[in-house]
Amino acid sequence: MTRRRPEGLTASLLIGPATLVVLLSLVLPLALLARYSLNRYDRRTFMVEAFTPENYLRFVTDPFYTGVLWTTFSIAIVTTLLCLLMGFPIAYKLARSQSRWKSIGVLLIILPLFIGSTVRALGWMGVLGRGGIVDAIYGAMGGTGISLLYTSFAVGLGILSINLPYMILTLQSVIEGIDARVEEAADSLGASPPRRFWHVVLPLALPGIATGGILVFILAMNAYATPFLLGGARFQMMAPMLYREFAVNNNWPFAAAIAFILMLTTLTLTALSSLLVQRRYRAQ
Amino acid sequence: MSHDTKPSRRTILALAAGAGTAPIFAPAILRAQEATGRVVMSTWGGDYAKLLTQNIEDPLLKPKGIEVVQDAGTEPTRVAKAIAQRRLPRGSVDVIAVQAPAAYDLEESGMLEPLDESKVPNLKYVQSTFATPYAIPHIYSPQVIAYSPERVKTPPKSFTEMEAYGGKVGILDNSYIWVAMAAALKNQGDPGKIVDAKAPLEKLIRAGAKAYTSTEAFAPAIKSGEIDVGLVWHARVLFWTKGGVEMRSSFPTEGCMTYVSSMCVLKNAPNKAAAFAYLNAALDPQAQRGFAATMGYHPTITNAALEGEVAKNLALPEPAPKLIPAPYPQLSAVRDDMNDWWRRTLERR
Repeated sequence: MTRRRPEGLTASLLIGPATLVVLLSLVLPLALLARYSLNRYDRRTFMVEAFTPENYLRFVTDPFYTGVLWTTFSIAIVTTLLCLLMGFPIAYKLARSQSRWKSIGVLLIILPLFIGSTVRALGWMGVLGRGGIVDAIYGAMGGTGISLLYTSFAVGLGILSINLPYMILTLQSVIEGIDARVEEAADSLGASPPRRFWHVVLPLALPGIATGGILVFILAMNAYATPFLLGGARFQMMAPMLYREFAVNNNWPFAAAIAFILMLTTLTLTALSSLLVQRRYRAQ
Repeated sequence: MSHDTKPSRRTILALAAGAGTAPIFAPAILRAQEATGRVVMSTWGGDYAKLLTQNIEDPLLKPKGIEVVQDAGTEPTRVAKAIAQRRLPRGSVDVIAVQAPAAYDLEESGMLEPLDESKVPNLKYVQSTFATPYAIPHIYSPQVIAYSPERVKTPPKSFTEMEAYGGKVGILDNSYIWVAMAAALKNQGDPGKIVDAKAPLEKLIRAGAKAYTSTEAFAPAIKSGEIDVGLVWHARVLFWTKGGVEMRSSFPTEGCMTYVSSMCVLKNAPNKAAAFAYLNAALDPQAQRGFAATMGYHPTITNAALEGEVAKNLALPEPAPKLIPAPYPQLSAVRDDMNDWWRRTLERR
């Protein structure tokens, strides 16, 4: 009993600085933002002190804004699922690989992360835009010009290409943690490969799938440069809209409300999905 | 401790005034001017900021002992900052460069120092079309119908003729409101009837007109044939032509909406005297010619005649089109609603 106290003291001393940093750099600005979101916007005076829910009401009662939230959500879900479908086989192959090329493979996955998302979006513009690679090939085959730029397809493709490495790397580390002998045991007991995957690998990889899924889902929900550059003026997602309200229209209260709505939506969905996974995991 | 020994501004001013009577202390005056001669210029970054240094700050203000510090950023951010500081007796900015509509808004909010010829002597040369009692017009550029000479054989001469290009029209998302004003000018005869321009703009969007989120996207779109025409500033056409894109300007017969970039002095500017000197230098013929030569914007003063290639590039057609600055009060009244409407129209397709 006598040793407990100093231990606790040491612990709090160790945690203290980090907690302080988080408090100062995350909680306080968020609290300030929450306060702003209840203010009223006025073009001349910029922000009027108030305590009104009108910014939130404006968002939830207007089909335009809820539509933008829905678009963002759909893009995020679709890209997350595609990341999973495309990432799992690659991650599995990498994790189980004994080849000396394995590290090269991992490096190839990581390499795109060295290039910023803006630069990669610009690259996609060159591929998908008018006069771009796709257009040129289509033209050579006898088509009359095709522009895939400024479509939801372009945005989905852009986000997918950015998020895929995160998914693969997360899954790979989790699959590596699954004992290969468990799969061999399933094999030896006569399970067919699909059965082995469905009943052995998948349940064991579920925490990794959940982590990777949550990671890329959050990234997609908050994507800014990709929808801005590849979606153009006619395609709306939450982050570019939030930026426009904040930095172009100078409507800080509404921008703060949008920020909270985006954050709460993402957090709620993330929490829900981990709850679901946990339940299923326990059921296994 | 050091602030106790550091002379206050007043002391320095008093010293300077005293020294002024005795020419023997001339270096002291210079030092005093340097100490009090710091002016903070809130401006856009990039080329504009660089050209301010090249054409105004280095050649005209530095020799007078005025040291300029630039506070560069996007216009809304800088305006927000100025508004946030409005209650402070001494703000952090002396001169703010904004588009003319934003200058009007700042004036409406009571944040701008009134200007006259006693403060800014060069105001007497300002072209009357652009003169206001609260801001100097720094540069201007008429809105033109930019077109590809390759694909457009008879250049459109009015907004209506441009409309006929439907899906081949390009609109810059961040200056759509100027397209609305051009439409109102043509259809209503009054650019202030901005709300009435909703219908023609909606028609354009439905016809498949392209909207570009970045100004830079316009030139590649003309080059690749994605669009054939679009309303942009003449200065932009000159800039892109210089960059090798085949593009020409057609001046609308109903008159050209005109972009004006303004400079204003904030009421709580810490150094008003230097701020006025900045404005005066910005209206200097040498500085104005510099901007015309490098950026393709027209001088706003009557005494900066252009010569040679620059004069040829910036020449307005004969008879000169009417230059129409935005109707600031009407624009200010409807802008927020129009922005909201524009977002929805784009989304609806």
